[in-house]
Amino acid sequence: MLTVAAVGDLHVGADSAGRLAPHLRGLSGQVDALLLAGDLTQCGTVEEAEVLVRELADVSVPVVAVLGNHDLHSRQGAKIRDVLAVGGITLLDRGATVVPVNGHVLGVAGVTGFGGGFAGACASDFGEPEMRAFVARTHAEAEALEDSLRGLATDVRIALLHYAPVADTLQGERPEIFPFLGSYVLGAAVDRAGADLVVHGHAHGGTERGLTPGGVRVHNVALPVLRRPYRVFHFEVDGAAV
Amino acid sequence: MSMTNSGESAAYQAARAEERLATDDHIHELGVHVRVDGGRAVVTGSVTSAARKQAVLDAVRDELELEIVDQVEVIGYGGAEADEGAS
Repeated sequence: MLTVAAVGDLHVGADSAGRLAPHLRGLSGQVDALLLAGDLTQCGTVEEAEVLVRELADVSVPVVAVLGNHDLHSRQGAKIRDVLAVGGITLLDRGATVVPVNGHVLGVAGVTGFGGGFAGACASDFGEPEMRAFVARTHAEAEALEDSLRGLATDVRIALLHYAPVADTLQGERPEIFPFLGSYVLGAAVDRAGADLVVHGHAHGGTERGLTPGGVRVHNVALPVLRRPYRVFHFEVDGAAV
Repeated sequence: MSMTNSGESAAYQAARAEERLATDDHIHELGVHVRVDGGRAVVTGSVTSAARKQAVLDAVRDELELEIVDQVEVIGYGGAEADEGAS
């Protein structure tokens, strides 16, 4: 049995100091890893990342994270990565990591992802260079996710994203903003490569559970959706989530 | 189209307020929405602390100079929190 906790959109700022840690104290004896689905910080500053690291200091299980749009706002992504690394947090940016757990291996492939929309309301690789660049970023994220998942020969494979790969988990958000919340291209990548679970954040007004068209479970673990400190997932060794 | 006393449409006012919430260096809240209706600014969404809620409401009030209808929820790290007096 592998057990993983996940949450996204912590939006840590200076005012988070001392407020997050108490809610994570139970993790160490309960789960094998903690996944953070982006928007770790509110403004994307090094100082906020340092607050996060201090809040996670007592979490003794491996912590794996991706960045979200808030983390990228101040263009300090590289420095944030360094701060997280010093704090023992693995930051995935179009890559993967493996976590050995009691004789089994958990694999996590992580990308931030990007927008573009879903069937019936999609951005396309057409027209102005800026629009094509927007779409190209989504495709690059999706290709990296697919490659990373394919490279994981592990007992359980999880795709960790910030943006949504399906529209299911956006239900509750205004449909007009779906193209800014995720893209079907990310879901297609998951379906081609295969995964046991996808977790994402970003959609604060969305819905917790969904499925890719290929049948992979998707969970929106944004804090405002969960309304609790984290969601726990249990996996049998054959990869079936319960 | 709904117009306000200032002559600016309610839709433009709402968009201007949301732009302020997204780009203000002390706020950066994209999950809060503003609707201008009947001369009042209805603010909805969630933030992670009472202080951030107060900052959001202050910014909308400052930007639009309208009465505020506060429908912002504080969802802290342990879940929904009681209102701590933000207005």
